[in-house]
Amino acid sequence: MLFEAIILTCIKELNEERSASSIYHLLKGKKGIQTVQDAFLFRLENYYRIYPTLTRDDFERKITELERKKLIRRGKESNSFYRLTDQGHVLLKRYKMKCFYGKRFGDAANIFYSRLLLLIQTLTNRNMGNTTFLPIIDDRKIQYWIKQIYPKIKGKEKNWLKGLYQELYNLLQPFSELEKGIFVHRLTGYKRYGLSIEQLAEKFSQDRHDVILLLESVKHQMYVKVNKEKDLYPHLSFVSKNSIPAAALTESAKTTYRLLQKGYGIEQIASIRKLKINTIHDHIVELAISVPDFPIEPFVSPEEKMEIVQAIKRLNSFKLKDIKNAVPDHIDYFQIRLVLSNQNK
Amino acid sequence: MAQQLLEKELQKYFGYPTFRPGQKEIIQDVLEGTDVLGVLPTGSGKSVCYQLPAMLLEGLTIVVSPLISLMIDQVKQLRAMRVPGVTTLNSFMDVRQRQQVLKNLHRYKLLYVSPELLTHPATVAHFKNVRVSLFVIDEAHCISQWGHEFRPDYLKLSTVLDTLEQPTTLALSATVTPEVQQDIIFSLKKPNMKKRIYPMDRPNIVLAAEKVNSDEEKIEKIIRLLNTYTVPSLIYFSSKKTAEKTAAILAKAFSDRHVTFYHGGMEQTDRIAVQQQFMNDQLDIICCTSAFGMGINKDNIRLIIHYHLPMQKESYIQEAGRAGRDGELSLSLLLFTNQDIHIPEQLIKQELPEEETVFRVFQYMTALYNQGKPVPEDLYMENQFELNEIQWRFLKFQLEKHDMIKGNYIHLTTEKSKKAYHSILAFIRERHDWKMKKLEEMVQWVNSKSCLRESLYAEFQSSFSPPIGPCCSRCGLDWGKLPLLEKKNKVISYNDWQQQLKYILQVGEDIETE
Ligand SMILES: [Zn+2]
Repeated sequence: MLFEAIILTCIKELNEERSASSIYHLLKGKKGIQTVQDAFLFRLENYYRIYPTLTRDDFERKITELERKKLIRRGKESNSFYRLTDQGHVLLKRYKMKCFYGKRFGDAANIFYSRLLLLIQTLTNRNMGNTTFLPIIDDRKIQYWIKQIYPKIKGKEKNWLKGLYQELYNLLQPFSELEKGIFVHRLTGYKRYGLSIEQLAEKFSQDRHDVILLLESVKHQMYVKVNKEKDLYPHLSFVSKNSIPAAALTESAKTTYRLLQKGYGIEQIASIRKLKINTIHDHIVELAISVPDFPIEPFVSPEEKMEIVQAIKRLNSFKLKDIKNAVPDHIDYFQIRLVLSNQNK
Repeated sequence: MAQQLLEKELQKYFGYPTFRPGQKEIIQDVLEGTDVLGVLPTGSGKSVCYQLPAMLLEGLTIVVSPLISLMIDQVKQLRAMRVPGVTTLNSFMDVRQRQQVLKNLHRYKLLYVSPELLTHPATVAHFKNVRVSLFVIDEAHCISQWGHEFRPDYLKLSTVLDTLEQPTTLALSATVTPEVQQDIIFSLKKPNMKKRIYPMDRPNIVLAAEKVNSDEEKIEKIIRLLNTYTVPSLIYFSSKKTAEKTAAILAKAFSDRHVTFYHGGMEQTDRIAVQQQFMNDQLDIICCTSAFGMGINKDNIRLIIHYHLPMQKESYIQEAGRAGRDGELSLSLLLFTNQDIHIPEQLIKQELPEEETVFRVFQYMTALYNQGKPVPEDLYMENQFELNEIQWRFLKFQLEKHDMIKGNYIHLTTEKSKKAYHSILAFIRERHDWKMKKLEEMVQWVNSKSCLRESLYAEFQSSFSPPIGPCCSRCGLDWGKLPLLEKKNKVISYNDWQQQLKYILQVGEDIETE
């Protein structure tokens, strides 16, 4: 149900202005600027990259299913655009949506969670005197983190286990029995490997998509709570320290940013970097989204901005093409995208 | 090295007190610098034959292995056992990671590498700067076109051996016919290779093959069998979907046992979880595809069931051989219907490109050649012509073999291309027929009225040891009365989340007093 509810929410918010496959890109967390910008534009940034392992097949199957259940129907203008049916609206209204922080904390929450899993496996094995085990987390960066911090913990395994237990116990309290169950049975300890997604789905009689997404939601909420109340969770906040990955800008956008700061104009940057003007435009939109206080004034005059904002209000739409048709000709798509990127800040 | 010393080293590095049959002989040969072809049955610990020498010899041991997932698993397990200086080079790694390994070759003792990377000219150059003391070809049957899974890249290994100035070579395989053994030695151009061949028959495995009328009947039979015997069990399927479906049915039927499925389509983390759970006795029954099993060290699997027909006897012998590694009595049962042959027939088709596709690829290559363009990326070709990885690899190798492509360049004249085209098509047909013949042998075997043991091994060896229990379903078998060692797994798992959390984190009295 959670998976369906998320897709329904996205379809509702997209308001027939983006195709279904943009939802797929959103959930999978495609790095392209279009996906990121849309996420903010339609206030769906919390769902960004909450399901990176989603396959196209599974997604399309779900869309077909929703259509068959008459929860969504194809849009008026195009076949690849969907909208909710009345039934879909009713269902969504009744559903209590789970909490996500995809764009802001999703990556950090996953680093935090992977560290926690590997730390628990390491602590419980060391506590039983076993130093040889197959690490449950493959990621080298996570394994390196354990190697670095372990000397601080060594010899204090028992205390750490007790501390983690107490903190996880408190942290899990507000979650449903199902969420608690999924979380604890996924943990790997000494001579006991956690359950796979499929096994969790079977054990708790849930759809496997929902298990993945429930777990993801638990990770996000835990991460946020631990960081909000660091004093209450000394062990867990130690695990979450420095888990925020480096700024999400692409390398190429960073270079453009440096040149902008040196005072070069768009055409100059394009010719220096031997790139198309359009590419530089993409970079600037990306910067406008990701860099706090990035000034858009050099590219859009206050009057032009006003025209665009009013057009959006009048049309009550984020469709680029409609907005373009509603503003004076000298305003281009790039300027509209820039203003849109500023809308939800 | 003196006899006892070798055992001491085995204990030191791998924690085993004694060698299994064949291991010590092969290790001694290799340490003395003798080239060896080792044929050991599945589950006899082939890998120790090179892992131990790698630790004892100065310089680097290179292991060529066809399956990336298997390589990664091996490296992980060795690292977990704290065996030093082990790493891998494979196409899952990005360029930077690969460079890192190649630049630091002198720091490693044991390197697992995939054949396509090893034979790449840029890689080979790096190996000239280090001392390669042992060169191992795992799953050496891949070098033979008449082996059960031919890998064209393996044919280039003899050139690599030349480049490396012929280091001591160890070719290892399970389940190969004498013809394939000869072919391996021939392809490696090492006529003086010492053969160490060990019989592959397993006297402790009871063989059974039974014809049924439908898939429903298969399920019934399986449920009845699992009702009779509570033992660690593997059920092999050709299709991921059927494996998943059957796991669900069995989980319902046996609520007191732990059932799950395993196939190559699962995520890495979950695959490791399932493997480890099975080894830790957290799982009783696994419904799996042939992706499961290699590299799994579980001694007490008592029951192996084949729900679908394997493509040839070699695969069957390997999969069945995963039972009873500890030497205790075990059962291998194959269930089949008359319709079952269609599934492997389909799979054989999928391994070879279609004639029409070959035609289109030739057209495309000609166009590229006329425009002076290089060979496109593998992924591009696979997508463009809807070829799977195996099909394109096959075709690319054929094009190379006929000098149509060399590295990244296309060389092509109308005349040459015409000849190559026809000879490739002929070869595809030949491969197809040969695979069908192997399948036919399998079908004949399951239908044979005489002793299954005798006819299974006849092609590979002249005799076999007397079985320790009943021989096979043709010689007579009392289904319900096999003295299989029962194993009831007690998996602690609490329904209460708090109890479970306490249990995992080892908090509370029950754990501390343990
Ligand atoms: Zn017999």
